[in-house]
Amino acid sequence: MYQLKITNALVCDGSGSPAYRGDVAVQDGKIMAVGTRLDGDAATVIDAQGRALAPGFIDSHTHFDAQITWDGLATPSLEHGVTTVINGNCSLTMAPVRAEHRAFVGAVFRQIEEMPAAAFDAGMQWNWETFAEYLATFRDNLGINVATLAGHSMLRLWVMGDAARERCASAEEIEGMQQLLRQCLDAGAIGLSTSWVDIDHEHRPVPCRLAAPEELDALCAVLGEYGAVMQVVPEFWDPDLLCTRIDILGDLSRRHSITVTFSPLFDSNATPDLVPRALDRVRLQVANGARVVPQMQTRPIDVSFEFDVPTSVFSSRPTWWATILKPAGETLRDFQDPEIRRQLVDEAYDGMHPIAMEVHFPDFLVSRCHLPGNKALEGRRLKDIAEERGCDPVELMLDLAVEEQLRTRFSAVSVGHDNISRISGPISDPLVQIGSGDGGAHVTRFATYGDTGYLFSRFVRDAGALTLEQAVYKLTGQIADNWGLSDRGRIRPGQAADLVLFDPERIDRGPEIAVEDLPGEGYRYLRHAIGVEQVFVNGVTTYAAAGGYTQARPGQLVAGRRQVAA
Amino acid sequence: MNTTITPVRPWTYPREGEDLQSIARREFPERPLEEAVADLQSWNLYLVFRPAPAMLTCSDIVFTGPPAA
Repeated sequence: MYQLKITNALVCDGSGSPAYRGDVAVQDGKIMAVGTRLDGDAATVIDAQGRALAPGFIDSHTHFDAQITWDGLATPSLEHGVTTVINGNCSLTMAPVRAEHRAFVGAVFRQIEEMPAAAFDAGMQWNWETFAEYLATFRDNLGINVATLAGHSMLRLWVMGDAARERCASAEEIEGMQQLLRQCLDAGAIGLSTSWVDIDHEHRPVPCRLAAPEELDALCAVLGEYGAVMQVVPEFWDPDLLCTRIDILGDLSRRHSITVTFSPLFDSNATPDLVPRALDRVRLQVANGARVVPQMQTRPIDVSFEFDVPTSVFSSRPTWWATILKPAGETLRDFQDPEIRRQLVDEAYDGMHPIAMEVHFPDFLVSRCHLPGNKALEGRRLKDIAEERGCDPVELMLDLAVEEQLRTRFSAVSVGHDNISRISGPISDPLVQIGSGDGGAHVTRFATYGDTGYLFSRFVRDAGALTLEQAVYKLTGQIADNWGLSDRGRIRPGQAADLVLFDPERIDRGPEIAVEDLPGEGYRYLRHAIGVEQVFVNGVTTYAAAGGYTQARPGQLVAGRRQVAA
Repeated sequence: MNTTITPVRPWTYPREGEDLQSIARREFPERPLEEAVADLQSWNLYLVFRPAPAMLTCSDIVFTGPPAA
């Protein structure tokens, strides 16, 4: 007698092999049997009616580090079929963090990951310091599986204190970081994350960027002892810099026998040769024995913003950047100052594009207005409104922002990674892993959810770049292999029963919506799933299209080749 | 670096406390300093235009040669 049997499913087993009609039986959180027709009763039998049954999707680049402490489902990732999230990317984690560094780490996290301060402060019951203590706070409330990286910036802060933001580490301090990394890995960390690009809330390099090469090398040596993974954010917008970083990663991979993964591999009209060049470099490194894995996101970049919070869309235009970094009252004054306005308008048309994005101000949408009299403008492009009014689109944007006290929300749509015909080749390349989705981050700027559905709708159904089975493999078996998640990612006896049942003709991401579901005040953007029927985590239903999220909490902490001991 | 793979461009890491001037002295001891610094600046615009207070760090890549033609 099985606990669960799913019959008559189109089984995509996560290996990329052809799908087949079959049954899957589950007992005690594990897949017990798989076959074209399984005998034996089950407490629960679900007739899949020919819908696709795949291993639960694995999202390898998320920032649910804070959210997971108050939302054990990592909503809405779970409803998109994601059954395992990998947190702690880009050198930022919520542990190990000494009490005296909580304010700093919180400020950095909120800056880089664009989380409202009110939500962060209300949600985070920050009563841990060590990595083990952090995991213990939410491990019993998980509806989704969670793997967490140890953040390089946090290791530095713990060992060096505030000097981590100022200088290279001494040999003794590097040894201290190695020891601390071992403690994190022993407690359940899946690897290490670092960054070569991020800046903190004071616009200074995050601590890990102060590391000399020998420090990173020493930490990679520890990863080698554990067979653990390193994730890094390189200068993803510049072909020469990125290729040089790929060489550095290849060298670290070979020397310490580790897998290194970088994110994102990002296509842009600004540098159309970047992705092909980077992939050639990865091939060269792999041919020379390195394990270097590029992560590519599926969705284009859309950025929503208001002028009361700085956003990266303006970072390459000095007058804009200087103006919106000021307190709101001063920004408002600048927006009305004739000389500054002239500079802003000139820069809007002639300024440099921000990294890897192509920004055209007249194409911005007015996405939300504060004043009732302006509601009719919502959803319209600046240039269309300006044409009607006989004014300049940038002047119009400034006027609207002033009239609404900076509360108008604008959207820059498809400003990068939006050329499906150019992305189709790389995304189907066997060396490229799907990732870089950023779930849990940038919540006030754009929705980081539904990249899984978008892969099926745009790249499988519309573009035909991947088969259904290949797409499933890229979201499951390939990631499990790269990250050493040996009991996840495939439908096979003995594997964890993480499963997603979906309609391959419908699966997609829903429209982006703003939702006020955060602790404290504030909103976030998210997308609901389309076509995902049921999600099982370790054999238990955690989401069903018919009833929504369940109360079950079968999620586990996942730690590479081993589960964390209870 | 792996000696079997030729870098896409010659480059170096900054040492602690170094700026482009000291890197120019280190990498191009035979050349006039001003000229070498100007070259480093033109080959590393991402560092030159890095907004304050961000500084040169020991993990940065500093190209010591021009991009491919």
